[in-house]
Formats: sequence, structure tokens, C-alpha cells
Amino acid sequence: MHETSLIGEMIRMVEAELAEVGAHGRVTEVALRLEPLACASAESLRFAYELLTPGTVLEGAALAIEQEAPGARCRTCGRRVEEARLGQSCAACGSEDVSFEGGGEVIVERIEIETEDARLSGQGSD
Amino acid sequence: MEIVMAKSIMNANNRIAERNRDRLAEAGVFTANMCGSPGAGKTALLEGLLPKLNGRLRTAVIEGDLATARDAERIEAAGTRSIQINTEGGCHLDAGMVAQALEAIGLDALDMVFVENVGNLVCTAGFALGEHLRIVVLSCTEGDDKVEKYPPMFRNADVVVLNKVDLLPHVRFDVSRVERELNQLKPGLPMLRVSATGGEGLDDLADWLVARRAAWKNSAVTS
Repeated sequence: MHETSLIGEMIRMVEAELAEVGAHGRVTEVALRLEPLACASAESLRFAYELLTPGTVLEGAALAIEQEAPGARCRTCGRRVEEARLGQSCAACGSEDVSFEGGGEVIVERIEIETEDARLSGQGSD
Repeated sequence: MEIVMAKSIMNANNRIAERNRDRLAEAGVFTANMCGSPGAGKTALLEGLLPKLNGRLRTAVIEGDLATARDAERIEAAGTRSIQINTEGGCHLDAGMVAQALEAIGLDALDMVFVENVGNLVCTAGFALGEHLRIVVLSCTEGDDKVEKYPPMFRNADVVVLNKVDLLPHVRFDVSRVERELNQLKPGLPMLRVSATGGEGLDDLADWLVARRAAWKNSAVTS
């Protein structure tokens, strides 16, 4: 449910970024990256995005979400455990001393803007 | 045209949290953010713990809930200064709300503030409030699968307090499973066992908190 506050903050960040770089033009896409332990659901983020973006600079822009898979490493034999689950032992040596890796941040990676020039050249090629 | 931002969405909250942390450090007020499910026993833990800290630390409590001042009233009834934040539907406290509450409660003549967050094992995990210590209260009646199901909450903890241990003989709860999964998520994370209503473990928790505050004070003086 805190996904609504995350999307609200994302809209403020994108507005601030556009003002800072002095960019004009329609935003066509905004890309988010969820680190493995980010406590946010992609589905809820999309729902909040549909709800909150109308009337903002992100109205009509696509939302791209990249979800990083969790990883882990065995502290006994040093091997990487793929598709890690908490409580799981190391498949190679059986040790329970497995360490989970990865952060918990939600990162605003980039925005795509359709500039005036791009629109004009797009029209020109029709 | 592509604009690369690569910025954490939590930056704005984190900046306010840093300001809170600095302000609290200046005032010498050690602050704990208490998280956990609704019904884990966060308020009951404070009711049991605060009398144990009497005469050792001067404490106050900030209570966070969607609605009602019920928890703040319980804390006041137990003899500790308390104020209530109502989030009006918000599922977590944020650093801005806590900044206002700190203003209202006043930091003079205080050694420690407990912030009892909204009961929630998900949304509270990502929002730093400016605390020096994150306490996650887990009760054995919730089941032993909570670490696996809600890893961000436990990854961000500095200590786990396992509550309602007097009920362990009556519920299906494998303490070693929780310990194993906590070790995989955050090696060295301490877990203290208490019964908030029965009193078991509360003296040890009070000693632990007094020691943590002293260590924090010392590190602030030397840095």
C-alpha cells in the first residue's frame, strides 16, 4: 500500500529533474528498478501509477519496471546460490550458512522525452 | 532524448531522516523505531519495559496509528510522556511526520525516544525516520515463517525482540528456523526473547538498551 507514496515521490522527482535540466517535451517513458529486497510490488506500483499520473508530467507515459532477482552466496564453500530462498541450504555443500545479497532500494533509472526536434523530424519522414 | 536519473525514490525521506538523526544526536536523545505486525505486542512491550527503564533513562514515546489515540493513552497511563500521530490511512510513518512529533514532544530532559510505528511488516521497512536503532517485534503466535515472507523488514532491523515466549509451548513456532533465516539475511543480528505481559526477559532487554545507548553516546563524543 505504500506504493502510492513511492509513486507520488517518483512524480515529484521527475518534475524536479525536468525543471533542473530545463527539458521540454512529452515524457514517453519512465523506468524503475526494484532491488531484490525492495518491499514494493510491481502490480501495486502500476495501479498507483494509473491513479496518480493524470494531470502530471507523466500523464500518458509508459512505466517500465525491472525487478532484480534475489541472489545468495554460501559462506562455507563460496558458491553462488541461484534462485535463492531464505531457509534454503547450499545445493553444493549442504551448508545452512548462506548469505543473502542485494539491496532494498527502488531506483528511478531514467526518463525518455520526446523533444520538439524528434517530433518534427518524425513528421518529416511520414 | 534519454535522461539518466539513477536516484533512489527514498532520497527525499532519507534527507529528512538524516536531519532528524542529527537533531536527536545534538540533543543526546537515543531514538528507536519499533516495527512489527498489528498484535505483535509493541505497545504491551513498552508498557512492560518503560517501568524497567525508570530512574535509568528519561523516556518519551511517539505513537503511530491510522486512527485513535488509544496507544498514546495506554503509554500515558503507564506514566510516560507520549504523543500520537494519526496517519489518516497511511500505512507507515515517514521522517516528516516524526520531525513534527519531535517538535511537539520537546527533546529537553530526555535520554531516549521510542517511536512505535504503524503495525505493518511491509510498508514500514523502507522508511527511515531518523532512528539510531530499529527494533522489530515478532511474536511467536504469528508463526515462524515471517522472516522468509517479509525479508526487507528483518534486513533493516538492528535487533529482533521475540515476544510472547510464555506461549511457545502452546503454538507451532520453531525458534531455530527463525534464527537460521535471520542469520542468512543479516549475520549477527541479535534476537532477545521476552514476554511483555509475563515479564520474562524484560530486565535483560532494559539492560541491553541502556548499554546500546551508552555505546551510542560514546561513539558520538569520540567522532
